[in-house]
Amino acid sequence: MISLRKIPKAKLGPGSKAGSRFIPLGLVAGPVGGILSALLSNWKLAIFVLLGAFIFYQNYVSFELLKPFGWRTLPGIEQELAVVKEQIQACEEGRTLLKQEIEVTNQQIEKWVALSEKLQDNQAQLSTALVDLKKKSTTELEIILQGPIPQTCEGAVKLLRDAVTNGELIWKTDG
Amino acid sequence: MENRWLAIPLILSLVGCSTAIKTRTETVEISRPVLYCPAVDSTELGRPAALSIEDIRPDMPAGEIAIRYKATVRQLLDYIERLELTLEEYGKFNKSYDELRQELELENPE
Repeated sequence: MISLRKIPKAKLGPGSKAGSRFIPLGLVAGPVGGILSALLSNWKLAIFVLLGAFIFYQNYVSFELLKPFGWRTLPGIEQELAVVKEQIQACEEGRTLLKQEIEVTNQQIEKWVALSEKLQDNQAQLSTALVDLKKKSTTELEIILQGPIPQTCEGAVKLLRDAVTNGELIWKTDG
Repeated sequence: MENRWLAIPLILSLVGCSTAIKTRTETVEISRPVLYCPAVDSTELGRPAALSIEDIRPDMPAGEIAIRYKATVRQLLDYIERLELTLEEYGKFNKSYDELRQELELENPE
């Protein structure tokens, strides 16, 4: 525990031997020395005044003179807080808007996904239909090639004519 | 002693008001569109590897030539049928895409 020893005022006056032990050289005489001596003799009052000044600075001074040293004041912080609140509000509005837009876009994409899945099913059905048609075509071709062969020229012409008339080689016009 | 009691509120008044900043984090899922157009494998179209008339030789009888011509016409008709079916389905695909596009444009006009 640190205790300060009270020094009689008479011994701390300017030019006194006791005062010269506490005050640096060059400041012994003159008004500065007097002020220092007064502070030392009334150190409680000095600390109280400093404390009061610091509290006043912290609570009521908006111009932050000591900001570079990390000593902020409440009015200064409140000013910054107001700005930050506005920025946060703007961010919050932007975030809400962005979220809504993302949800709308997601809903659209979900519809595209559903359509894509449906079309893939249709494509699979088309592939199956094409394979069936190819099998049917191969069978029909084998039947034609393995059918009776006309032996005369007239028979050959008749074969081709009959193929059209009986619908084997008919050109479908219904699409 | 009374000075100490006086110092306590003064010291407490020096304590800064520090409140932790509450950061709210919210995750929003973003769907990524991948455009995919289903396509039929070209081998499924069943393009004839060869036509029957390619087997015709100079000494071949007229009856066999007629049969090969008939078979060739059949081959081509069947191939055309498969191509038309494919085109028809692709037309439906395109129509479906267009209908959905118009629907979304009506819902969200730019």
